[in-house]
Amino acid sequence: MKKLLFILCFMCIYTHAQEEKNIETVINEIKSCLQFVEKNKVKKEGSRKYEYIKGFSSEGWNCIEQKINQYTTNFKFETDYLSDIYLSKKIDISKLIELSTQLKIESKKRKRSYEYLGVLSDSLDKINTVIKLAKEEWEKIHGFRSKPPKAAIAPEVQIGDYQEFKLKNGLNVILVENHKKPVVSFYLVPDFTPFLENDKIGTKDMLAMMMGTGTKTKTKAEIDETTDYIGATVNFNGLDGFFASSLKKHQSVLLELMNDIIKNSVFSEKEFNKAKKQLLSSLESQKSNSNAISNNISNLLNYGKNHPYGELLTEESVNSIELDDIKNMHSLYFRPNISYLVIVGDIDLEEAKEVTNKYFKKWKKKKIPMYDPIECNPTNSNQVAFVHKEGAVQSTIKITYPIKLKPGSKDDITCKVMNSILGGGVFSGRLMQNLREDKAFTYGARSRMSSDKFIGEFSAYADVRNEVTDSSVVEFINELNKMKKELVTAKELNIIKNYMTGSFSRSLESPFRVAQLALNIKMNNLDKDYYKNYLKTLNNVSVKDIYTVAQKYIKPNNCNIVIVGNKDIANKLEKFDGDGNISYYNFQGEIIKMVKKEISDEITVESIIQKHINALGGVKNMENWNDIKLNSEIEIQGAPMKINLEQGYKKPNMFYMSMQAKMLGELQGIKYNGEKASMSGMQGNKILTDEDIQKEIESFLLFPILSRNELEHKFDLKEIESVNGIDTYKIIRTNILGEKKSMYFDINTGHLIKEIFEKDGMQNIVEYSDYSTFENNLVFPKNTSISVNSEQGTQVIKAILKEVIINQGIEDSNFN
Amino acid sequence: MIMKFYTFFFLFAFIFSYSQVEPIDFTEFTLDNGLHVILHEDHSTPIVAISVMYHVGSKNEKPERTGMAHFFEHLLFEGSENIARGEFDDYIESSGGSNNAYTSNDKTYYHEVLPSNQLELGLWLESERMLHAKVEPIGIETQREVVKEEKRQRVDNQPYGTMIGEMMKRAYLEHPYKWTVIGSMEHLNAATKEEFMDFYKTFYVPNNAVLSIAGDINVELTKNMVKKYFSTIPKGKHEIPRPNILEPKKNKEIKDTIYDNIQLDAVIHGFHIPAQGTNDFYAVDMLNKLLSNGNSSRLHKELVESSQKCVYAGAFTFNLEDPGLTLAFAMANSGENPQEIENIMDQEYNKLKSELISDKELEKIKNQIESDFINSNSRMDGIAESLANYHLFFNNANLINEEIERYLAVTKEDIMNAAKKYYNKDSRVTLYYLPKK
Repeated sequence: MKKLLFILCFMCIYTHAQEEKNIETVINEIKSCLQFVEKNKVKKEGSRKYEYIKGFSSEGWNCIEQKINQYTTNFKFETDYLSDIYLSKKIDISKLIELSTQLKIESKKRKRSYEYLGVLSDSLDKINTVIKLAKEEWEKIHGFRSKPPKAAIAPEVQIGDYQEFKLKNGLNVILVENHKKPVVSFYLVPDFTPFLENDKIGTKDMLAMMMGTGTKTKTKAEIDETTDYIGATVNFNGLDGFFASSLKKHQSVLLELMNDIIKNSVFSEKEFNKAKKQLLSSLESQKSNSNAISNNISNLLNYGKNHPYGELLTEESVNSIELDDIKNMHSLYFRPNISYLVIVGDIDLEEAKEVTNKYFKKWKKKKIPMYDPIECNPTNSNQVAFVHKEGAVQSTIKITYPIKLKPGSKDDITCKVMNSILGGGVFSGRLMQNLREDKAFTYGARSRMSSDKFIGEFSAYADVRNEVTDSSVVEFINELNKMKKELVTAKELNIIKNYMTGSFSRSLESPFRVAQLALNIKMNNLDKDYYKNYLKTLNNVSVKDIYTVAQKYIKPNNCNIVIVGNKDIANKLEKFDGDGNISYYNFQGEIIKMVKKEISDEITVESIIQKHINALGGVKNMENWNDIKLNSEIEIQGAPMKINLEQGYKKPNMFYMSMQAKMLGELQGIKYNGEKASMSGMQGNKILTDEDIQKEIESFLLFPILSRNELEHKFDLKEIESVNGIDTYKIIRTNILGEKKSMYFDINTGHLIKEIFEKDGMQNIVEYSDYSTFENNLVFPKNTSISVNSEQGTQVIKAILKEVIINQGIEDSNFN
Repeated sequence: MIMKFYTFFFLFAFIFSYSQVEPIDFTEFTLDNGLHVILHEDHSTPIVAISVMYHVGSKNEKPERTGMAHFFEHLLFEGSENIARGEFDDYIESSGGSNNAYTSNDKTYYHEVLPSNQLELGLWLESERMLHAKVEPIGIETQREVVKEEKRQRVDNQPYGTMIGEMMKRAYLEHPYKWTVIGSMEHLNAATKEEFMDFYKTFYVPNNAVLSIAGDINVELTKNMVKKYFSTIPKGKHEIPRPNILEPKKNKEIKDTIYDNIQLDAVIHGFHIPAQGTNDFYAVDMLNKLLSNGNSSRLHKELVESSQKCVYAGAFTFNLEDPGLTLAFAMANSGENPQEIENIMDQEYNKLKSELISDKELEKIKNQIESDFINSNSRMDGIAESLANYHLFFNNANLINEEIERYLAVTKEDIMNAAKKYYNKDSRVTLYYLPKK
């Protein structure tokens, strides 16, 4: 065994000696050999095994010595080796010297057998010298690298010039010439006063979707063909204007198309329906998106529902939009006299005048309605607004209030610097440092201070873990107070100035940015040299200036504290509310009562279930059938075609389901004959295992509530909760597998109106409505809506029950 | 009659008049240690883009250590002998710059854009990275976690995020393109400190890199600065392994179904194509544009607009150093049958093989290519990257001005031949992506 170890040790050294290695490795190897010798020396001195050490000495030490010599002689000061030597800087030289001294003493004591120790010691000394020299040499060649180089003199930042003129129809044209490339771009920015959409919120969104989908002479396909043929980019966004860009030589084709869309846009019923559907789908997916909810509620609170910025899109408002509303809005607001046409690229003033006159002159002007601005003021004290999100594991926090800060105003730049220090920059922001680096509450905490011609906004925000929601709010408020009470440091200010200067300069690389700055000047009535002086102004911002604007704009006691999260943590937030009362909102911005309603003593799980059963027609009717068939129509968000759903039930416990789409046939089917179940679909068939059946058994029953005892369902009455404005009893039901489902029963009617449960890692929310009485006095919900939430988004499926056929005589073959 | 003649003449002239663009001027030289340097001077904006492209990608990895190249892209932001941990980004940001990096199958690219008075800072940072980056346990551990998180976000949790991996491992059985750039987390866990060090010393050497600088610079001063920071970095001592494996030709279609966390079915075809820079490559790339560039392109029009069977349809060519792959991808509307979609895709390929495309269509893709080409080099960081790329993989940085000619030389017949030669059922990989049940 020992012998083997020795051989291994020897071999290991020997083979490695063939390769080049850095000194650190060599020394480690020497150390381990020495340890080996040491171990054997103590244990085996005087015994026969001593021979091994001698053997080791003569061959092993030779090898080590050779190797050391090879290294010491090879270390000529060639740059190739320097990095190796340099890396060995980390070797503790004092240890090396110590080791070498010990070896010397040892070799003197032991003389003959250990004479190699002396040689070794000399070699170590040599290594030591080499390292020292190498370090000196390294310093000579690379020493300058230890400090970052200083910046050269800051370059002067030149902002490209712009030119402007106006057409007779009032269209303002801004031109930024850039002849570097044969490319021209045109973009249009209508500058209308924000207006209320009132009961038709969403009209603007739909107009944006529909513009550019057809003209009097061109279909959408023809517009696409024209755009693609010249390799152009064309985007129309309704009242947000358009962007169109192409190579110079295709300019007239591009302008011809712009001209056509501007003057001859057609809004068809077909595109209208498509746009409406699309808008409703996106609204649907907002329901489960915390950030969207948070933005909606903070807009509502900061600006109020009578301000254009505070209006919220709802299903109702979208559904009330008619095609004429789109046409009217288009004709009212899409006008040259309030618009800026920005031209960027390889075109001079003369040509710009010529082409705009040719293509945009006939666009008719019209008087645009103007609106008086509505005052928005911060609240008198902090107000907590809470939106409950079932199953949330994070809270979305937003601390916000409106600010009167106009673009280009005296305070604008100072406020931007202050905000960058607080939480606007990409790194070192105080919020980020505090909530992420220091406390690890969140992945990111930031703030934003937006200036706006009408009314601006301050907001600080983060997504945090449920349990640290209140602690996070404390830190946000602390940081606001700190900004207000203390001066920022010169170092902080300096870093931010550098960062903002660099970002500004880099952004000027794009001619579009130059045009954007020109547009800002025009739209906000700024001094023509505002941006030319921007860097100077930025550089002049002082610590004291920041203190001054902080007094004016930082309002730690006048915030809307908007939290989207799980209501279980809401009561901890009461302390932040000026009045001690949290307001609860639903995702649509309606105040809801979250006051805990007491459940009266006579209400029990059993009484709720009995009421539910009676509402469905009563046990007698619910059992009085032999077979039942339910036919429904299904609509899947984003899918164009209709799907039919057929569900059949037959006593004692048979079930089948079949989902069919026109042309495509069966999409999915399930058959259960009471014992065996199978699934079919486009991906093939599958026999369900007993375990699968146990999982799904509930869905094979027409009225699972009647079989609650056989299924061993457990019910737990939680509380009274409001669902879409209806008070419900919330019951948590647990099945035999331990899976939980929240069920919400209407207090008044007894009907089950909502269920929430997890399936395959996705949250399912099922809502039932429009309960109607069918044959045999049986009651079924006509509408069922299922939304499935996963990380990829929300998929919504809607089913409408069309007919219920009782005792038609379904063949057994349907179930097998 | 005369009118007609003129129109015709005009059209003729139009077809052959491609826009003249100011060529991009540059200076290039190679240092004694093998570092190739390319400089482009442009004073329009006082900024400078500094970049280093290393000729190492996932294909240079050992089969039992996949993911190393990408891992290094992360590790080399950890700091160096002279830059403390985490300070790399701070230097860039507090000087008002921006930076980033990426790794592909063939290369690893680091770049930053700085105000032009900070050129030297950029050179210092990149030379620190090349000379003596910190390859230490603490950084390795930190970045392992970051890369795992990245994999979760970009691959595992991304709908269809596994697509390229699933495609490549079937399309390549021999060549190292068979594994993904992000690689295997087990491999990264198993790699020792010595292996990391060895990888660094093998690939992160001046003779395996191109330093490319574009922007507001003075060429002579910049040359001196480059020499100051880079000429004393030692040349690599190891031989740089470059795989020399030819993927054997397939003669039977590989067909598979992947069940993933997705909502919509998808059909993906992968066809083997020649390496970038070859004549056939350009024909294939144009063919792809014909199939999928813009709303009027053939696949989009058939699958998305007319039949409304798909929400998206597209084709994508990989620019690879060794013979690569082109993908055609169709994502079905819910409820649509993937087999029917595949049939339509097949019809489109067959059409390309049996009918020459029209003059107008050829003209359309040439126009698109021209427009892309002219718009592509409009920023300094883009120019720095293109110059480095053309030098490293084509050994001709001037292709930044000339590559378009290779595209414009492609004929209708070339496109048909490319379809016949490469868009074949027997040598392709077909994947169906279906929702997990």
